[in-house]
Amino acid sequence: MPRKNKKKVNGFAFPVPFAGAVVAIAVLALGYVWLGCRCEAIGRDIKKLETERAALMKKHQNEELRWAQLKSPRNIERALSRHNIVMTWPRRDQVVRLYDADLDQRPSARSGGRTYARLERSAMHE
Amino acid sequence: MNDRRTTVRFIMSAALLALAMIGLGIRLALLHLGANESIRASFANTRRYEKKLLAGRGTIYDCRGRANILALNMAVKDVCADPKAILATNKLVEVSSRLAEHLGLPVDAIAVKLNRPDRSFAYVGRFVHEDVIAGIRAESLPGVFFRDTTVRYYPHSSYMCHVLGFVNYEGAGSAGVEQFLDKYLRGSPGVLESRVDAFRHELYMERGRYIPALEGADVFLNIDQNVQHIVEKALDAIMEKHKPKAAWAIVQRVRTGELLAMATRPSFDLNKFNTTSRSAMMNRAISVNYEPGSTFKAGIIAIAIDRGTVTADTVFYCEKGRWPYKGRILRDHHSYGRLTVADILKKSSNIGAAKIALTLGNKRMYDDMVEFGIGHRLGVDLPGEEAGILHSVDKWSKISATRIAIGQGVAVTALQMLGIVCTIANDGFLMKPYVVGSVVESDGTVLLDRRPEVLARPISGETAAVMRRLLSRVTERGGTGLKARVDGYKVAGKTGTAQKPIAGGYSSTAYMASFVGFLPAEDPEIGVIVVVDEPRFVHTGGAVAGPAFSEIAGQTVRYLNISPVGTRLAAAYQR
Repeated sequence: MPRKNKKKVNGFAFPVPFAGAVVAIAVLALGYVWLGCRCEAIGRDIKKLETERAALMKKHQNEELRWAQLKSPRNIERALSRHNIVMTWPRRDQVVRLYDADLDQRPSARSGGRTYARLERSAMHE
Repeated sequence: MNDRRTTVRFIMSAALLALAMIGLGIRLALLHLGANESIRASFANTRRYEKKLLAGRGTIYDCRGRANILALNMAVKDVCADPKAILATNKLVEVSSRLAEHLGLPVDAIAVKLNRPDRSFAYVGRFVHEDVIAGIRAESLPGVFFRDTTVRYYPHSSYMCHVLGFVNYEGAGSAGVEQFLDKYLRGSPGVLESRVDAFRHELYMERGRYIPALEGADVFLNIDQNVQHIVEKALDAIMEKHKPKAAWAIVQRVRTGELLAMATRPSFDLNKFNTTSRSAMMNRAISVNYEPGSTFKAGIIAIAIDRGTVTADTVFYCEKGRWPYKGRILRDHHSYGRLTVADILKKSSNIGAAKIALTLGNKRMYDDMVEFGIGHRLGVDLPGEEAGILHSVDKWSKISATRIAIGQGVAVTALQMLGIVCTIANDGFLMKPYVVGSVVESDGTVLLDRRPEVLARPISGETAAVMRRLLSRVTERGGTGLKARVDGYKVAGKTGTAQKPIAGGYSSTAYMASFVGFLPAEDPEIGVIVVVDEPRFVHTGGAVAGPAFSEIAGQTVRYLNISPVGTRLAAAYQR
């Protein structure tokens, strides 16, 4: 009778499918943890941006207030007097009203010649 | 032998480790699965985060839209302190003096607040601006911290203070437009429920409930801040020159009823409303009933002409300045003989006006005055409007008609008096006065859009045209309103110098001086009234209120680019 060569296995042979499953689970778990961390990080970024937005809105409000104060009529008058600028309304004879020129029917105008704005002195300025 | 000992040691170590792991596992299981509600609840409470999101109050703009801000919310901070912590560092004096320097407050007042070992919170400064906060923060003072808050701020301080009103510390509008449109301006608060980590930072992923705050709607007024400035300056000049008790003025668009300016003196700083007297807060332009004096003649004569009882050329005998009637004597300032209705108005004859009123009859006169808006509110969109005083006709005495004709025995507000004259200017149509143009939400939705509204038509267009001609004679040579003239423009109006009523009669020293008018006379665009309460030195309407009217009207027509013949007639010229 031939001798049976028994192969003696020393130690524990880890089955390959089981190892594959463990690796897959490990990868999924790591992926889950990574996603969780990523969400946390995005949440922190959103929170940071919200805070920045609030701060910018406050800054915008303050700048609007400053601008409103700067261009208030009282402030402009103070600035004018500080620089010795005196402004008055014009007299009625200093006001000249210009109207849009009507289409000029002269041949020179039709052929593209130069036209001038028409100046009218209406009775109200006399 | 050695192998056996090693094996035993290995097994014992493994057993101990296993026991420890099992113990931990059991403890974990008990914590998570056991009845530990109280422990879990206390952990959850420490991590819970709830915040009420304050809604920003809407902004108020003038008629130029978002270019000119009249009232807005400002992000500020409250400066707070932990007295216990400060006292623990033994730096009370240093902290108090540094804070006092930055905040401009007395050192000892701050020290008293901080010298409280039993307290861990105290307000040191409320509503402090960011610039000041930056300075305090740089000092790194122990026990000092800040809280975010907002405050209502008015960039123009006292300008249009009575129109805008203010918001109290509870966030409620308490006067003016702030009060009238509070429900639109205030908005709705939001809420945020979430959890925090060990560093007290909010965990965005754990946010449970988030309802954003709904910002208040913005209000756009008809007030023009530049016209308002013109009026405010003119009133300041009156206060300086005539030292009256008070003065007020209104500018209104004749055709639409829009109020372009409304100002009162004394005024107050809206940013310091808590230190202002109640008297200064009164919007006298709509809240004070006063006897209008001779300005009221314009209304009475308009009624008489409209009813056909007189014409502009009807002649009356003015009794040479002294007329006994029903046991009482009525006087003129000058001795006049025979005057036409036109001259009665121009020279402001009391006797002439009284006789004109008698042609109407009491009932007709009363009904037409009510039609003009006297005795009831015009419905302006501001709180505190008075209705004026017009006693019912069955309570009139034998001479009431003669006295009411000269503006005594009847009380009006400046807005009502301006309404009468603007009715004449507007072809007989009495327009509802209004300050608010529109209310718009932050997303652009228009909540309110005011349009011109006709309240009544007390007189016809023909009568109005006649009255415009008659009133324009008041500012001509020989008229009482010479000083109300505007260079280059024809002004129509009426002066008023009314003795103030006192117990048993009228004062001989206290007067209400006024001028009310419109321009350009042929095609009116704006109406203006100026009222001065108890001017000193000079008391006639022509001398006190007339120059102020001229200043206000003259600058306003140029600013608004109103041509001397009015916009409609100017357009006709161009065609």
